[in-house]
Amino acid sequence: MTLLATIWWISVTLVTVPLVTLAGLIVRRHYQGRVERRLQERKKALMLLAMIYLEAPVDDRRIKEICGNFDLNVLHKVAAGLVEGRRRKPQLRRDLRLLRDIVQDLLGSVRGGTRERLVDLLRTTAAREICLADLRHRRVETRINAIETLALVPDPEIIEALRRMLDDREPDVRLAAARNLVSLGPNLTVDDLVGKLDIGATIRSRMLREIFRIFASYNTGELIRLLENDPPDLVTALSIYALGTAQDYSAVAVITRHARSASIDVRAEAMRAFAAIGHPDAEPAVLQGLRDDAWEVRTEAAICAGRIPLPRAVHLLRERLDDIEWWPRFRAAEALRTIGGEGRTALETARMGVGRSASIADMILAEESAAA
Amino acid sequence: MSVFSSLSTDALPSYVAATAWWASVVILGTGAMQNLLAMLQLGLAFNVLRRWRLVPNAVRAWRQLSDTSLPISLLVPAYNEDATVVANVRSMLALHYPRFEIIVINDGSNDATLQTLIENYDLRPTVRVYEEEVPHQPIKAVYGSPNFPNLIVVDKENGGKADALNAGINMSRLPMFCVVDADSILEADSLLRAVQPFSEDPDRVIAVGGTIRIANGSTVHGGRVVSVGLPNTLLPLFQIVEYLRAFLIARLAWSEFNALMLISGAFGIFKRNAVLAAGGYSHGTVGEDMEIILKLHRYMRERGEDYVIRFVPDPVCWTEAPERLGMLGSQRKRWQRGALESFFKHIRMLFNPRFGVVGLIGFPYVLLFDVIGPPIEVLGYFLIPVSWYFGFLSPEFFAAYLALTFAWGITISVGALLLEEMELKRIPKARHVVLLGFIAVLENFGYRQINNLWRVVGYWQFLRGSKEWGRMTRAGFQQARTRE
Repeated sequence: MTLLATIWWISVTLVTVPLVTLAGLIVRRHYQGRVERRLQERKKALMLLAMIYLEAPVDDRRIKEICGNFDLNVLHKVAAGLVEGRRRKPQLRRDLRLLRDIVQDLLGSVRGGTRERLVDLLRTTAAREICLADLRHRRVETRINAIETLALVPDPEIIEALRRMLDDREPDVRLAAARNLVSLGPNLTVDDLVGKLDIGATIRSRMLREIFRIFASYNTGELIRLLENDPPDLVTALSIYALGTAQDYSAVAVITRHARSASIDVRAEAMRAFAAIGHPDAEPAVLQGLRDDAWEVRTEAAICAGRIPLPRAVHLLRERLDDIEWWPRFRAAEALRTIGGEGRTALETARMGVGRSASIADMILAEESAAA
Repeated sequence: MSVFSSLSTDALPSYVAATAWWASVVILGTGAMQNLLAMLQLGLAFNVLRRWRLVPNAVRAWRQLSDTSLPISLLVPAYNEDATVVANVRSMLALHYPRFEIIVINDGSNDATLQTLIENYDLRPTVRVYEEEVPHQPIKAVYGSPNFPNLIVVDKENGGKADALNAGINMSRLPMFCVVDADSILEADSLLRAVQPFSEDPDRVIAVGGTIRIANGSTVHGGRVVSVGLPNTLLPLFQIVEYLRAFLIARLAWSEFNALMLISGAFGIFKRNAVLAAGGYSHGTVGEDMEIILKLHRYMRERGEDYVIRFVPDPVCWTEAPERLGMLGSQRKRWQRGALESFFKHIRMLFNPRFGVVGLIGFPYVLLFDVIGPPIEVLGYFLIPVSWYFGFLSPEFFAAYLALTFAWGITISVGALLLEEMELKRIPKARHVVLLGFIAVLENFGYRQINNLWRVVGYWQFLRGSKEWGRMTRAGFQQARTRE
């Protein structure tokens, strides 16, 4: 074929292929649109059924009044818990998936008895079986969705299935499994968390903070032991953060040790944890933090000094009013205002002077007056 | 057969023939390179979108993303926006996000922007401690609202968008800030979706851009796009396809390599400390959105920092596209000037291996598409037909090449539409897809060429040192009828 003919053929192919593909997608869209509309109608009906279920025991007559000729098959099976995994018809299976999605979405906006009843609805349907099967689905979001649903109706088999998901190749799936497992109680050790999540290497997500926070709400002991063994910096920072949120006083000693870490993140996290715990034993470490080389640490130390509060930190906070960096300066002024008494006097004195400290003291006092 | 004919060139001086030959080679070669690169980007973008995990609805977005989202300041620079600013601030106040503050910066407006805000939100003068970490024009007053504690309005002297953003950054006290145009509408969960990369990789991600879409033809009610539609006029339709191509192909593809060179000024999220470290927005530029990204790349790479700048395709910000040729032309000339300003300001990154993919991929891409591309293409509009007319170029090849160029253009535009339809499905009606498919073909015959002409004019304005921003008169979003 000549060069010219090749160019022409390439041109024709270039135009034809995307246009034909687009035409195919439009046809698919047209077909899917109808399917989607039917699905939405079905979803609305199921939503109504879920609402009726929430209100009272299922009553065929009442449902017929509201739903007209809606197929009662689903609700009967839902209510009686008669659905068995292997004998489902495709339509029923689809309805149950829809019902599961509806319940999941509703769960975000209800509490108390209504929530319990919705969870019961999941439990009495075959949602459990569907979700257990979905844990092997090729789509990541389906696997995550299944994990979240299963966590609502836990039993030993489900816990075991969720534990297996910690070995999933997809980091987001592992995170979802870990988050739900820790939410369900002491199902994991800290070694599981650190090892399975491969913290710092493949996973750096902020979700780790949430997982560690929940973990610490019932097991600070393991985190303290972990910190005693000097884990990697990211794990250390996460553990310190979690211990801070748990406000466990017994963690102050080990956090104090890490407040001298070489890592700025760890030192700053230690200051944040001290602020959250609010224990005066943290005072030496906080005072040291106020003199830290890193402005991030000085900032957190200033916040901490104001929050505990530490009147003995006033002189150092006063020095920080002249800090070369803005954030330590601003937070020190805020801390002095919060400490009150001596702190306030220090602010008033600084305001009379010149330079950075006078400027920040003046602004913070003016802001306070404006807010009053 | 021979591409370049030698039949008639004998009649002309040899240097004319040689120049014409070389010019044709450069023009055709540049076009081929642009098209090949765009095809490569299309493939990359498809690959990224295929793997992209869309959060299906707002309820799930909240459930899955809200726990890990960092607090954020929305910076809204406003200059003469009294017609739209109240509704748009209202829509921002209703965003689904765990913790955010809105800082509206009135950049010395001549109209009633400030007064309208004061009246509608019951604003009162307040004091807010801030440090001028990045320079800006003096602040005249700061206002707060007792009813909306997370709304702050800063009234400052006029200094341009970059200046207003610097003032907003100084005022902000949260770790991240999001730049939103005062005339744009954010979807309720767009912030949640857009900060996802920051949550996934909090230490390395320093900036994230979201998708901008055109709201002409869509219906807006209470600061929300309630029904997505298409405009009735051709010009905004062309721009819809153009935006799809720009956001879904180029940005997505380069984002994969951390070589993203632009985050739209209408919707971008930044880590505050990173922007401050890089020196904030530069004054006296009309392309502040591109310049800040280049500045961040340069700052980070010069210091050997490990960082990421990302583009996420699903969070959407709606904007109104110009409907008149004059206004569109003025906007495109300004964009061209902005691109050139940013390029030449940071030219030392070009082909410089020290700047990694940015110097070796991102910058050469800007060179090809924004710097040499437009003038060469426009030159081609004249020179190629002339070459054909004088017989330098074989007529058969001329026709074939023309067909190939248009075919490539159509493939790329339709390709963007395919990506949208396959992976995102945000165009609600099948007939809209059909219409946009037709537009994707049509835009290659006239619209693309006039765009290039505007860009060449923008080039000329840049060379003359023009800093004009130009006036954009908006028709306003199409409002939904409400029952009284």
